[in-house]
Amino acid sequence: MLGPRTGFTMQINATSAETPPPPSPPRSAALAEALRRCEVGDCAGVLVGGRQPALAAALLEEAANAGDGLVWRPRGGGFWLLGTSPAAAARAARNLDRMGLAPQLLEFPRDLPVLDTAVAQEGGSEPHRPAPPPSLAGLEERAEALPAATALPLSTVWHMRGHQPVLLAQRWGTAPGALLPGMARNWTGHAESLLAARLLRLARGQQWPTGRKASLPLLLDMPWLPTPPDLPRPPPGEGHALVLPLAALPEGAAWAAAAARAGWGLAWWGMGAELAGLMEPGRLPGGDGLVLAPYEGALAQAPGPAPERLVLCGPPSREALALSQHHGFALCHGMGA
Amino acid sequence: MNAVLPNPAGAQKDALALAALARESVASGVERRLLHLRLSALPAGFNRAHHQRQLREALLPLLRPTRARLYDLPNGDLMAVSPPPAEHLETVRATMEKLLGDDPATTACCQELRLPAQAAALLSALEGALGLSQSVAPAPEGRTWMQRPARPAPDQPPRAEDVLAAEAALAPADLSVHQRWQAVCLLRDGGPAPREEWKEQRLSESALLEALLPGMRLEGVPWLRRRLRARMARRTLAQWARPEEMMGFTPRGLTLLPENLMDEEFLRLDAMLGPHRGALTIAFALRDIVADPEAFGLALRFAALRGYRTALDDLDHTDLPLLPPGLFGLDLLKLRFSPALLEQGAPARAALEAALPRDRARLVLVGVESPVAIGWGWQRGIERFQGRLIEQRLSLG
Repeated sequence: MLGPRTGFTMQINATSAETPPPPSPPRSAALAEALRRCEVGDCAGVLVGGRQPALAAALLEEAANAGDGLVWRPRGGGFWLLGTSPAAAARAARNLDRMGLAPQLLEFPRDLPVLDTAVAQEGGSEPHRPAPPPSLAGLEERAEALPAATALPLSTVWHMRGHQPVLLAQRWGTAPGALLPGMARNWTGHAESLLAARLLRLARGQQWPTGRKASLPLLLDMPWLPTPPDLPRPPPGEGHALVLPLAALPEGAAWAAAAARAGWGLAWWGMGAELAGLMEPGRLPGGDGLVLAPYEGALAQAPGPAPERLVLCGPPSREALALSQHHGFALCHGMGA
Repeated sequence: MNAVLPNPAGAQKDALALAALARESVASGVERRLLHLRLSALPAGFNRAHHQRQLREALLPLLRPTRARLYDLPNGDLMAVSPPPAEHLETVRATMEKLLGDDPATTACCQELRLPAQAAALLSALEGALGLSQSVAPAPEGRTWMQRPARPAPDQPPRAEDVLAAEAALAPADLSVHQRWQAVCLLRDGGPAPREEWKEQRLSESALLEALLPGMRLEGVPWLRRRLRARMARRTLAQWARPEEMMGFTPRGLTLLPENLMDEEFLRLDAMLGPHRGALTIAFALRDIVADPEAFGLALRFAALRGYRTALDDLDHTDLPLLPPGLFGLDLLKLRFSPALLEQGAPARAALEAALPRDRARLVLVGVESPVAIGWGWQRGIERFQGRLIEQRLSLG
């Protein structure tokens, strides 16, 4: 990978896109043979979307090698394993399923119409080009310049009690997507930290967001820093907490002590289903405060040992509401959440 | 290769092939030497079709017996590509200079480039050759990865673009000075000499980061540091995923970030390892796990699917209370020995005992530098050790 600064690939693609695509793209002999085999029948395949492309391709290539098939990568995206033995296809689908990649097992000739549609679309489809990564130049300045209303959203933490929504807290957090949309975790994390550093400065100046309800505890996002910085005084009221990214867990004790000295509790951000055991009472530093996570199906289905501490952040769906009521975890949403 | 002038479609194809070569080289770390013959930049007196034909006819015989390839570019430039050491490219350069005489205007017509270090310069030259940019940026001269331009303000945290530059510098870097092997050994109380179970390749991350971003304070930007560490791990993986490495593959281990398991370099290694996957132990640091639980979940599932052994790397004993029973689903716990463990009172000792996995075969005591550490491990039923003292004992046979 050449990194986001190199725009060359995009420029090459842009010029090649100017020439009209041929009416029916030439098919390789291997693809033609795989299609013929699917038409004859008694073979199988797998269709999987383009999430985790390297992994999907690796697992399908392996199945293709084992079952004498072929992996087709249409220009529109996604991967097809074609013309392979039913056993190899089933094994590949099982493996992809275990990796959470939602494969579709195909049987031929039964699924020929699905394949025919894809092949027919291939002629007219534009080559699949991932969106160009956002520029990283001047990221630090942009983190300062973005309007606070966009970059530093105030969202609401709530849950249902009976049939009534009960507001639990407000979270003054960051919207890294506004700064760096669609980037991998480390860049998103860096964007979160840059924006949270801005929050920290505002809080030190006792500048609280408009729309804050004085009656509710405030959860204030913190940057990931190796040692706690000078912390602001919390606003009047009780139950306010600093939200620390889980990445700072090894420094959690120092943060918890500093937060307590400054009058804050400690909450955590970034929980995942595999780490739910961390929510056992007494395990996370800073007492048994709230634990926030982006809304994720696995965590909503199995919210771990202390669902009452868990806050899942994201737009509230019908499923989220039902699971929240069933398990007792809270939801958090608002602008940018 | 032919001695007639290139046709435009062929030259376009060659340019794209070179762009792909640059990308592959950056991804895999495989080195290439290039000589860019900038015929389009020659003074008008040398820039006629027959001049170009004569130059090509003079150069091709020099390249034919070698492993070099000649690429045509749409603007008439030529690019000779060869694996290192590529002395014949020097011969080509000397021949060109002889042919063109000592006119100063002709001296800039030969530009040496190295992949993957100067991939960006190559792509920039290709953009120029394809008419995609108005001006061709001159390739940085004689710049190697260790001689990067210093930033004006040291002691500052790096900016996002500094990290991208460091990544580009990392691609061709020779990591061997920063890598070392250390064995994990079985050593029983009263048993014979330590027996090596597997070998781990450790990377001196701090030293390498200092070489990449000299004087810059990475502590304040831990996400950027993490990004570079993931890149460094990819370089190691690219080194391992080679056929020659697979010959006589002995049990070994390395530390990765969870997201590394979805990288192409790891998947290439995975395909090559085939039945030997069980001989690889992949360790993750606690900090790397909690920083990206989603990637950790994927990595854990993939490791289980493929039969890799997994470990929690280098855990400080003060972090033990954080661990839920079950070690997040990892197989082994590598606990770092600290002299502070010897001074623990009874309650702390009891808490530590309770936090350790019951099955002591899942424990490795690391950082073993004194016999006291081994004794402490034995008292707790630990029999697997790693550290300087173990290396010394191994070397003594």
